[in-house]
Amino acid sequence: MTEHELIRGCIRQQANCQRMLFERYAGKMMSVCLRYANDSMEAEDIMQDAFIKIYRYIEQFKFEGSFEGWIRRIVVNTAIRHLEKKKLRFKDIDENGPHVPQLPPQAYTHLGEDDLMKLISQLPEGYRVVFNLNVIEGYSHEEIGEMLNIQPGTSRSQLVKARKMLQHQILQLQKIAV
Amino acid sequence: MTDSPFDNFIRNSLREHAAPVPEGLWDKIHPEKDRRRAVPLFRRPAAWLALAAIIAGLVAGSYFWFTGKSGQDATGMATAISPDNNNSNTDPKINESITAAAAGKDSGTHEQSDLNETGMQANKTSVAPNLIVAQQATSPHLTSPHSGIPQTSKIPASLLSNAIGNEYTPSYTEQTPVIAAEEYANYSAFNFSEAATVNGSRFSLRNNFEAPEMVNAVTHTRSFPNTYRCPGTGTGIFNTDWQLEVYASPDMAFRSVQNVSASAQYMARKDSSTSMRPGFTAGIRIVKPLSDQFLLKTGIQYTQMNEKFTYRTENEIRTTTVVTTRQIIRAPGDTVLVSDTSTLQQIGYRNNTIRNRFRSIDIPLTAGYQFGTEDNDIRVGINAGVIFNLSSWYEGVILDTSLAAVPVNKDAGGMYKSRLGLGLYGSISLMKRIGDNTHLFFEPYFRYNLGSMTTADASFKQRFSLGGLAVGLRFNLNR
Repeated sequence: MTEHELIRGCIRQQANCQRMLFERYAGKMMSVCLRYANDSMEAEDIMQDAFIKIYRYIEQFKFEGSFEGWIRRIVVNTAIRHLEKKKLRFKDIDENGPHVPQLPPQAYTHLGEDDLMKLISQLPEGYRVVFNLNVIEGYSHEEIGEMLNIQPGTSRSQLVKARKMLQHQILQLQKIAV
Repeated sequence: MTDSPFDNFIRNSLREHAAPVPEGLWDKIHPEKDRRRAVPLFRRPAAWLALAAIIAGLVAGSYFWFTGKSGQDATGMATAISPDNNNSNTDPKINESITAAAAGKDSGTHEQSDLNETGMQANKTSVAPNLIVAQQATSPHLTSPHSGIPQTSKIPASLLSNAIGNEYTPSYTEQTPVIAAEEYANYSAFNFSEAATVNGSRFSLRNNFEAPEMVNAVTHTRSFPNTYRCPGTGTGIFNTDWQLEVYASPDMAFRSVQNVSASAQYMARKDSSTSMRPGFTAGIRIVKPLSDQFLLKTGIQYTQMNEKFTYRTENEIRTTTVVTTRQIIRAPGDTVLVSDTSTLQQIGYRNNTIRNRFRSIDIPLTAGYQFGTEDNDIRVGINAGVIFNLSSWYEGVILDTSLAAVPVNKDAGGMYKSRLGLGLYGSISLMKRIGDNTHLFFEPYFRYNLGSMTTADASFKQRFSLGGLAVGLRFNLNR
């Protein structure tokens, strides 16, 4: 079944198409949810809400652009709304931490996806959200500012600190390995 | 500060990354459930049933109301004696119940004689009252060509007064109009025997006295209503009775929720945290029968709908103090007791269950049609109408937009209206006579509220329908 037929089936509320759509995108979207959520239970809640929205508003998809991108936007927005309800805080942590030099590629290329997921999940909430939105989803700081209702400058500083913390954690991992 | 290689590595690694999906997540998402909630009104069987019951009630009520009026005009007698041509012709009881002093028989012996034996060929339909008449009979000869008393005829009060006898004079003379003299002549030949009993099948007077000694003031008082209701065809006579119904009902509310501006998460949480529980309705109604079949009801009733609300409170701290006592024997006779006190603190969540109550006071206004006649011990009826809400209030705990549980009480209803507006009502009633003036009734009903119970500011619309089984007693106030 093509993606087009799948979407049409979901618009007609055909149960098999809805199930197929879920199976096709659930894994990737679960990964997105896990990156934003604080724990797996929260990720499951976000996932549930996001797919309910997807089925409810799928008839609004205009068949313009990537369908996966459309789904991903809903999942990301749902995750942000979910975190906002829990008072998403953008606080500075460890301002006077050690300076981390720019990492050479060989310092991190050996890291697998699960390692990266684990490292990202250890970031503070504000850092993690901005890092995800900018680095992985590709939103600009202005867009992030609108989405999170913060200044673009705040988004930039949160990103820098998130990256710094992430690289520091990678260095720590290297030291442990050595 | 940018770090493109690092960012690109992360992006390329995680952009297409897929994580294992927890088992059972699909069952939580399943859009079928959501679609059931969003079924429009015209696709709901319960709404169709309620609508059909209301339409059937209104059509039946209208039909019998109008046909009843025409029947009343045709009868044309609001007196104690009615021709009742159609019914009495087919009523075999007439032959048995008309007891007259037949020709050639002693009128004072109270013997019953068949109408056919008396030669009263045509008057089988002539008199249909349930009168127990005490008068010396002389000549039961009746030669009138009429099949019954003319519809426009009137009978003098004096005749009836005499004919009925002393015991019955008050109730009949008060309400019996005067017959025109010339018409009276047609009937003067018809003489009532002492204790002659004419038992009309549709009469409300239920006691048949077979012996004259049974006829006395006490039995009369017990048997006759204060207001005498005229016999007739059964469908067209205006009924002067007033009745009172007292009832109570276990009922179950059915909730329909429509999202306006709430998040899907809020709606899902609300749906999963609340469930309806049985409630009850109790009330009192005045019933005005317009005829033997058609009736109007109104009164006041109290309804309580119950809702079970389960929510979780986070960061609940449970502290446990643990005291450990050890005995150390260092040497014989040198024993030391050591007590260590430690505190164990657990942080978790607690599940709370609250019973929310939605209460309302309403005025029902219904029209009904009852099959059969008042003489039937069991009657079935259909009712339909509207319910006006006087006041309603909600007490309990609800979720706010941040998914926190907040209390709601009568004074600060918040998102719930204090008046629900109009509702539709349909029911089927089954009545059983349990006494001369009392009926026991069972009435399965369905109530559909037209308006939402939430205010315009609420992020969702919530509407309740109610189904239940009313059980109650109906008393006749005229007896």
